[in-house]
Amino acid sequence: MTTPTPRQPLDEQSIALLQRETSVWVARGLVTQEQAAAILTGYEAAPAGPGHWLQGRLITALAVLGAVLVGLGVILFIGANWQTIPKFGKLAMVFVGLVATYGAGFWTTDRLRMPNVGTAVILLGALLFGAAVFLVAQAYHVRAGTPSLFLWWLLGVLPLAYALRSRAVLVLGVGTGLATLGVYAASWMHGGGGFVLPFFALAMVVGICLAALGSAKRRIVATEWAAQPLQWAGALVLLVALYMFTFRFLFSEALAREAALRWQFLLAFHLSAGVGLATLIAVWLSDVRAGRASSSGSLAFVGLAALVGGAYWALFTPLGSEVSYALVFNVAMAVAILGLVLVGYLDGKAAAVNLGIGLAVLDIVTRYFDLAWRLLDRSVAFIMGGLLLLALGFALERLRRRVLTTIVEREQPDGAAGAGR
Amino acid sequence: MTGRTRIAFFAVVALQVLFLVGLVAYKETTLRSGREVVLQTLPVDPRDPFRGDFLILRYVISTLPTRAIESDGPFATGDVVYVRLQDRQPVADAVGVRRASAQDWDLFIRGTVTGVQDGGQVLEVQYGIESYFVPEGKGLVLQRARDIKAIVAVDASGRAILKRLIVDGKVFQTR
Repeated sequence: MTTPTPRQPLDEQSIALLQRETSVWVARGLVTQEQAAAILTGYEAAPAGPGHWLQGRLITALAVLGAVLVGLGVILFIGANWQTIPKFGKLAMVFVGLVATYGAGFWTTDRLRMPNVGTAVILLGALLFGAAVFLVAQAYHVRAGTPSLFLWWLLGVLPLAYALRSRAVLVLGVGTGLATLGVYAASWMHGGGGFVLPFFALAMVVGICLAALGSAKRRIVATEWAAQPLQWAGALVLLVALYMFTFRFLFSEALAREAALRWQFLLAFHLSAGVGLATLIAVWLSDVRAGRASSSGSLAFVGLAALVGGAYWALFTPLGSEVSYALVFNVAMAVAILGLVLVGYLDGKAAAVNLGIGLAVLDIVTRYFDLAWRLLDRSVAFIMGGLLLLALGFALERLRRRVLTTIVEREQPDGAAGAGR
Repeated sequence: MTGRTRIAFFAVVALQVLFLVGLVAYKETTLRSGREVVLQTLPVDPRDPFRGDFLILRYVISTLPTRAIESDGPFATGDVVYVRLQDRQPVADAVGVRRASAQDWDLFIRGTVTGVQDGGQVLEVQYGIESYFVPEGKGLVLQRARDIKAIVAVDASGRAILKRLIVDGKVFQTR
């Protein structure tokens, strides 16, 4: 005996569209009347009616924001009054607060069937767990910057994200993971200066590793819930690192005062680069074998692999000229921006196009002020910069709209082209 | 939530609580059963003794002259070291430093080398007892103090926890 497949909730407009489309398919002979009916039985009108999706997002955003604010308030309250609260009071507040929050999250999700609010309350629990780790440490005079505290928080958050398949908790986990790596990386470098270049070189390979793992989650393991946070976090970290690499001063500092890197730093660097590259290759091979290799996927694969090489080059083979480094990474940034827009165009991803255009504006403005600040009078630099921004904004907005319109038209030949902007 | 998700969720929550209980128990055990040592702190910088709500402490044993004491160098930044202490009333002094296990020493404290100077003849060491949290507004007394000593509990593996401060001869009250 088979269990009936649950019906997928859709808003009324989508149901109406599906009914119209299935009629057309039947008329064209693509599907039979029975098949069309079978397709339609797979869907049902969502109870909240039109705007349900937006309302869901709004509720989630509000609930998550509320959870973060409550978490911050509790941390600030206990932090400010910690030494004046008796010891048993402190422990009671931490343990009862944590268990009660998780209990409320479970109750809201499981019993009241309000998953958006419930997830936010569980996220608050994960924040309170971090607060509890730091506050217990503080009670024994252990400083908040101690790397192991971040690691303990991370080890508590990641299993929770995987147990619940929760994107919000995973985002917190990725953030905690990056903070953990950051504080450990700082303790793995010594020698008087030049910490910025190694730090961002590590960030670059870590970003690539995260993005590759996110991609593998989607393409190989098919766990969609974890793919997006990992890919976005990876892309963000990678792009921040690449942006930092476009500044000349980064390399002059490194050449003047190189930091000594301890073996833990080198291990983290090689491991991130190795796992990142291996995962990229695995994803690409999986796509080739499944016959779904796309030009955009291959482009992203080559670009990310080249950036791993770039991070090695910047960290281990000093050329002696800061200009050569800056030049190469400025070209890499330009290629990354073009690649983002191109991949977004080819795959129909508006977010990638928007991100690429946004980065183009940031990069051009940065380079303008980088040069103009030294060459021009301040007032002239500002006036010309303002005019450049206005012209750039106008031109890039037109380009962005044209690309997005093409994407929408390609996906919906008869649909409204203005959607999704 | 499905049955498996529920079990996984409660298991993770239970582990988080157990971890916190374990952390408190470990620290309390060190505080109660660890050997008490009095360490002399160095005068704090009067311009910026506080960062947030904690006092930054430096000890006499934070700087170790390796030629003047028993040592098995060379040492590098980041090395975990064990520092042999001798209780010379009223405070304890460092009389040895080594990287290897120090179980044959009667009293020792575990630290991490944060700096090596003069070709390895002077070590900067941190012991994880360099912060002391105070309630808001309580820091003024410490800022004006002429002499601060720290009472530290050290467990059998050399890990230390700061118990309390003796400020100008009197135990500092946080409440």
